[in-house]
Amino acid sequence: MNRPELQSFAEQGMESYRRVAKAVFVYCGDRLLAEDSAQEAMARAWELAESGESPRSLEAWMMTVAFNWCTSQLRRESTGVRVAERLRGDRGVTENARGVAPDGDDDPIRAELSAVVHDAVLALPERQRQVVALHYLADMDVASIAGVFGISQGAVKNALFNARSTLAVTLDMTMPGGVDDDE
Amino acid sequence: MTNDDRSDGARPDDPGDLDALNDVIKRSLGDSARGVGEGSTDELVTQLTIRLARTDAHGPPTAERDINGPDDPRPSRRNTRRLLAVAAAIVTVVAVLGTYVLVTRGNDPTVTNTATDPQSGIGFDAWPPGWHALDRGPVPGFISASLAWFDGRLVVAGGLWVRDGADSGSSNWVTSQWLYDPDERSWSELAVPPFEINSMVVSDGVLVAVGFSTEQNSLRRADREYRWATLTGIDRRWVDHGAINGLFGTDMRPYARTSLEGANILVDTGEMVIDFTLGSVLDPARGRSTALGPSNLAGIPPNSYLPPLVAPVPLRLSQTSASSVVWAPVPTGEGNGAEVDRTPTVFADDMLIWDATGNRLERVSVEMADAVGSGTTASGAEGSDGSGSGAGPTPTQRSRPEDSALRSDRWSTAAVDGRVLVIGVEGAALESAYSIDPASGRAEAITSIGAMIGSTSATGHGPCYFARAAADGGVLATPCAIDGSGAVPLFLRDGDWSAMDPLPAEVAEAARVNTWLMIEPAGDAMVIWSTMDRPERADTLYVPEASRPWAVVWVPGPDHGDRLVDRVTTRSTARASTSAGTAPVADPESCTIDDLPDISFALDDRFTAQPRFGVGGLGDDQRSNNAVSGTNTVCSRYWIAADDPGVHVTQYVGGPPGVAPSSGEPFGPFHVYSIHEGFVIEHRSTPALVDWSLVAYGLGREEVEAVAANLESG
Repeated sequence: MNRPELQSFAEQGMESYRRVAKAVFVYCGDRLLAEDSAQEAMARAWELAESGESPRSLEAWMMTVAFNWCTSQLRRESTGVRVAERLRGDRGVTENARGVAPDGDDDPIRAELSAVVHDAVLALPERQRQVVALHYLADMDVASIAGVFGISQGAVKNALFNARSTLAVTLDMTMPGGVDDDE
Repeated sequence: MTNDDRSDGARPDDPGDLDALNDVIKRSLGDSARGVGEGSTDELVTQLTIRLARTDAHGPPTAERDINGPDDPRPSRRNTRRLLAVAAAIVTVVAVLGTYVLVTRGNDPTVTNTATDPQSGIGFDAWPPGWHALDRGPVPGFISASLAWFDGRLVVAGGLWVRDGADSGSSNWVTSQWLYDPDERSWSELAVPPFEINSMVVSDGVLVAVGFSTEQNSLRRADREYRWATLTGIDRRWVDHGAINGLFGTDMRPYARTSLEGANILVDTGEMVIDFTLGSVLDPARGRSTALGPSNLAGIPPNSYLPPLVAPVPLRLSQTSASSVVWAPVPTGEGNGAEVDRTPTVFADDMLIWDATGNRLERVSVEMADAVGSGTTASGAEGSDGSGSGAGPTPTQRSRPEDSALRSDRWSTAAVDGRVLVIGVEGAALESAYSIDPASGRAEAITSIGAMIGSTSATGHGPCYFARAAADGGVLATPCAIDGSGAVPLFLRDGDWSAMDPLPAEVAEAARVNTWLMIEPAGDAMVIWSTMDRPERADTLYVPEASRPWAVVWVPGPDHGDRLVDRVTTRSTARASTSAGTAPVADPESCTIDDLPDISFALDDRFTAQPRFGVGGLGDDQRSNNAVSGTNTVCSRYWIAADDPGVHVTQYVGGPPGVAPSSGEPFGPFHVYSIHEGFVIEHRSTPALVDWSLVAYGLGREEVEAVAANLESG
């Protein structure tokens, strides 16, 4: 392992790492697990690069690895309280596990809304959570999301539509119908 | 999709609502995720390096000591995991109704994904309740093995394999490591770190191993370079963290009931792993070792540091949520072998409490509580002089416990319900047991093992127990079998001892051989693992053919818990021996079987047929020989059960009060106890063996009464 090269690799991939971490965090609700997942993806990406291979989209590839790794960890711990609490949708994300709260000078209503929305997302089915995470945090389009999870674009659209419907109810907002193809 | 995509996208119905919803979701999730993944590049590089080192399947493990940055990039990770683990532990505790789990599992975050989780249904917990003989498979019998319950499997490592009974030269450290999978009931070999494992502990889901290289196969500690490594999962590779930075040198020799001779004493505090043998704090998350702090170790000379009591208990100390409790009386001896007997008692010094990081130290003075509660039952069994135990304090006493019997290695310790238990396990110390609140230092006397099984002789022989904290809110004490009695294991719960089911028949013979035993909690189950002593020291007197390693698993269950024990004094009478009034009865240097009175009247037919004199199967015409001390201090006679040579009643006879011809030491009179199948026969002798009584202890009143009736009829 060449540390200077790894340093360079990390510098170049830092933004991707952050996006992956944030997206996984939205999915799993655990900051540490999200960062673990993103780091695992980065490590695998490094190994991939060292082997001379290069995926078409490294970030999308990292997303796949990170989500798979995170899902694996969640399922492994599914008998514990960690996931059970989180997925009950009852504000199960502990303060330590949550991302850094909005700055102190932020609107407290906005902070509360943030918590409500994230908890609502965490209460969604697994696939919908994954799609929402990539759509809203990684700004990925439907085709890219489908590529990450190996599903059809239609499945992505359905998941996104259903997620929005649920969130709209939670937020007491009107839900327009359909998901455009350009998403 | 971008914001522009959404805002510009033509939608058939109210695109404004969709955009508003998208904006709310995106902004809210962005706020929620703020700070996630925002560490520095250097931190990321460090984490990548660790991950790559751990999972590199093609190269040797990489030492982390050269690659870590100056600061831990994940300082809060362990805290968070601990919180989660504590939550998991609480759920587990509720599930199993075992308060002890709070003590141990609070420090063992592997609870969520190992067999310790009752919901998982794997591990020993899935086995039927009761004792099970454990096939040791390819694992040899060796000294100083180390056990760990890791990832739902039993890990056995380390150990000194002594060949030809030699003390060195032909001895080798066992370099293999094995895994036992309770689900598959099979053994497999596990990859080993680049050194011989000396001790292991599970911390935060990571297996931490300490060991050393023995390039020249040296058994001298001074020749060792201690190293440590971690394993994050059975399918991963060891990460070698290099040499251990410790406070103490490697030339000292620890001696502790909490660890086998030669093994390092490792304690997982829930935050760090502390190696009290080397005086080092190991941080598995960082891969670093630092010297045990702080600087206020005054009064603890490193070279004579003796950490005989190490008990991790949840104890708030400063900002920590867990800490290790260490009681470290400073010895005046060198802490080895015979000299250890000259060390002060366990209560000779303050109790030392390190915080969970090993950086903060406090001293707590131990004092007897003002009013000793009803648990003052150490005198439940009469003392050797018939006047009750001298260990129990008076109700008004408020002072440091003074118990001269609790010296050296004659006691064990355990942490239960957040309290430290000091339990005498051998010799006169069997009469002593204390429960100490580590926060206040208040000590209370609790029921001693002696109160359960009876005392021992003044010569120090007799029952010996090895006690250690175990699951289910109690302490398991297994007989050392030093008297070859085949005694039953005992369990301390709620201040009282009770006998467990006898060990399974498959190991009953081997269990009568004197060996060191290790007790490792494995979920709710407990594993007892024998470690063979050097052949020449292994006490194979009684059942030589049974000198083989053994292991058992105890699986608790509603119908297989420990059983109530009753004590029935069958008789206390004067019975003139054939030589009444004509002391001395038995000079240990010259006694013969004729010097021992016939007690066959008190035994059933299965014993009367085969009295045997002496020890180790010596002929009737041979003198008794105390194999432990090598001196002749007692005459003994064995009443061997005709149908089971391992079941016997031991009849000891000491000489008259006087001076032993061989040693010049005073001896006798005394009374001794022997045990067979859970029953204790007390033989109380006067110099002329005029007065004596039999006391039976056993499993359940009906059984005891049956034995008592038999004795009475005799």
